[in-house]
Amino acid sequence: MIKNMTIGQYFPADSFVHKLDPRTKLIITFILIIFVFLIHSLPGYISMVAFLALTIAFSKISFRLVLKSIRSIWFVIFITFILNIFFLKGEEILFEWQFIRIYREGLIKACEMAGRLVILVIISSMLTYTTSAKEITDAIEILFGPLKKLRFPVHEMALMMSIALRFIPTLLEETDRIMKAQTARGASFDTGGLISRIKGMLPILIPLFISAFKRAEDLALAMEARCYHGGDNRTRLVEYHYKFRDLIAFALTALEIVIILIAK
Amino acid sequence: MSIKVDNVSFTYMKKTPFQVNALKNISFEIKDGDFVGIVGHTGSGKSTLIQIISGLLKEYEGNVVIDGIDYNDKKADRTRLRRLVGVVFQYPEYQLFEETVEKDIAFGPKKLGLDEKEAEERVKVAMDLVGLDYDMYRDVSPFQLSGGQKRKVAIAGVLAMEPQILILDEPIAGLDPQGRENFLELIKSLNECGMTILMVSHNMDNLVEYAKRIIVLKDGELFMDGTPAEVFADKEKVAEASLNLPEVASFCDRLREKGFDVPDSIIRYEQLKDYIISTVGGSYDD
Amino acid sequence: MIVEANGVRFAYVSDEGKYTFALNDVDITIEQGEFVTILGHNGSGKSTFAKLVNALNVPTNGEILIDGMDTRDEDNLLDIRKTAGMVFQNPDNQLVATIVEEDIAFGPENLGIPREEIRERIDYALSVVHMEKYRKHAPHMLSGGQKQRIAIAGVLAMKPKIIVFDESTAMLDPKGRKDVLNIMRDLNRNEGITIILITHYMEEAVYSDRVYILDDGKVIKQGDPVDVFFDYDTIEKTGLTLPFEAKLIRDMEKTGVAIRHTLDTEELLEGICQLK
Repeated sequence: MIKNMTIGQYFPADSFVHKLDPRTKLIITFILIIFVFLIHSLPGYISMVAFLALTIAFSKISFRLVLKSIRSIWFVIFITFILNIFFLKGEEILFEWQFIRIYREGLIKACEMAGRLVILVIISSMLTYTTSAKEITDAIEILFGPLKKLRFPVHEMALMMSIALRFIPTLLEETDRIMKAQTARGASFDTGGLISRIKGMLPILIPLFISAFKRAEDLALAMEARCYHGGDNRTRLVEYHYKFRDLIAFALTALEIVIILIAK
Repeated sequence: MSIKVDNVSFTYMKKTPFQVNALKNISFEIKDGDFVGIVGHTGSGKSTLIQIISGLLKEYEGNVVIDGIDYNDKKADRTRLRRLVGVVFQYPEYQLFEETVEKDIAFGPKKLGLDEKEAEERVKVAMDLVGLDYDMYRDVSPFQLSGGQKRKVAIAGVLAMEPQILILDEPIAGLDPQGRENFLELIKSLNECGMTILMVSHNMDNLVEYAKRIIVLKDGELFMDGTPAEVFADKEKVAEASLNLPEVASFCDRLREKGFDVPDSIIRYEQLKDYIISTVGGSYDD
Repeated sequence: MIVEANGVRFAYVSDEGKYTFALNDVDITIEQGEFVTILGHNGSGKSTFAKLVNALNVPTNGEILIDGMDTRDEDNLLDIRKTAGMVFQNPDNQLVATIVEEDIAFGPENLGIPREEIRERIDYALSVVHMEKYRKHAPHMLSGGQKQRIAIAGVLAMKPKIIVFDESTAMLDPKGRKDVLNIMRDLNRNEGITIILITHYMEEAVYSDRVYILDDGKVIKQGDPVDVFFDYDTIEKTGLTLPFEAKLIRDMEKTGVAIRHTLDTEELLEGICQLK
């Protein structure tokens, strides 16, 4: 069932957002994440939500899927909300019961924090839903390309990231399988104190590490057999060129930023 | 130890758009000491079924009763159930984790609450069964062994729990021919000693040689159930379940096309061989 | 000769610190366009040989020439790997990218091939393995057999003359195995690619032009599959199991029935009919 996790997954489709240059998406994501923290007014939030709704509409990603990504971290959102609502003090008390006091300012702040979290999750989910891991690493590699001159191993870092992404589902499945095998042998993972719990994880962790090393070894061999020899003289299947649609995306983002700054 | 599966259904990702009905109203009974092959194409629900019978998947509908104990019964003796049912998964060598062969095999028995001495006895017996010399291998790290030996250690680890029912999922995948044959012979001898065997396999040729009964699943439903000869006699249904015919069965068909009157009961290689030799007049005299 | 191994030894240091030969004085020669199967049980040295062809290993003694290039010469490395592609055993551990087409592009990208041509090669490779529909899929959602077909496509995109299949069918279900074997035959017949199939399933060797049997690091038998398979004594020693047809003929011969040696079901049936 871990296989069916939706956060961080890519959903291929032929849409405006999918077809955007990954560099565009990465830069816009970065900008939006910064500007989310500069919004302090209702119109600002409304414009941001509208912007995201537009993005979702033009991505052919179902709203339900987006909601699912929020649901998978609802607990974090909930805790943030609770902490803010109970611990922020203000002047106007809305509700009082024994030692619990909820202030108007606290409620507003709590809604704001929870709302920001939701927006952040949607922004980053939209990036990963519409951009393959390969595209993201390509974009990082190109955007950070200038660092190569400083002998920073940009290509290697990007490759490592993409391989990690490729193997996450495989290793999750494997974890599930090993857990079941050890459960059948009588292992239990959720009883006893901290020490015995950590000890209880060993029957999973050790086989998982061994298998991961074996996979790494196999993969290194397979890559070598396919003529891998570092980043030199390498071509790239996908060459990225900014298109007109990227300009539109940047323009809309600029517009959104202006609105946020004005509405502030 | 009988197994009773009564009207079992299982749904993955319940109440989501991804909902998959992995099993639909499955019922059957397996009697003590049987050797049952479970087959079906990928996605037919066979691995879900064995996980339920092993007690590893819980939120199913219906009842699974092992030796009179129902998994769903809140008061059921879990340790006893775990003791009764042993499971060998595909590529079981991936479950090894201890420093020595002996410690790894003793892991299960100790979890059952046996003391050092009892566990050691169990390890000895289990290693003997799979054909690993106790004195030679007990202190060896399982990770230094060859693939085939690792698998033996993993299986010994399950056998040391002395299960009465052994469930195997594609147990011979990845072994070489010698390893495969040794392994199947081991399973056969365990069965002859009274152990109930449930084996999931894609290899029809092995199943017809070893299994006494075959259960075919298709799209989560019980599709066929009978002796190997009965199941593979119904060629149309077998094809419908996207299964291959065993070599022997398809060869018998070809012989029939050529005008040979091959009896339906012929399903194992030895039977076919004897039939052909007696038909063409060979003799075993020399 | 596309592959020429002369007096090849490959030594490794075992856990006890002793030198052991995984291959001991092996001569194997393969012609362009041949389909050759190398059989042996686990530990016979067959996978070691596979890695020598691709220059992933270099012989301790002796030499291997791939299309005339010596694998010991570092300068030949990329050319050898381009000439002799390799498909490994575990379908999960040889795909690099998160999208099928990008994985197929990995080899050509490494070779610095222009983008337009990589695109053409991907089209070609996907059509040969009948996976055109899966171009944009994620590898982990595919079945084992499909993953192996993508791995084959990845090798094909480098336009190799030889493809080594190092137990590439061992982890597949019957359907996946059949698909991969059919593709091997197509590659050999239609694309003219030399196939070296490393396996312990004798029945997979039936379609090959020649068979080598390795045992304990040595070639103990080679030749036409029919000649090799009906050398019962040798087969028995290696712990391999005969394919159905050969086994039946052997058992018939044991009872004094004379029947023509064949690995073809139809010919065997005819043989039995004639005896009736």
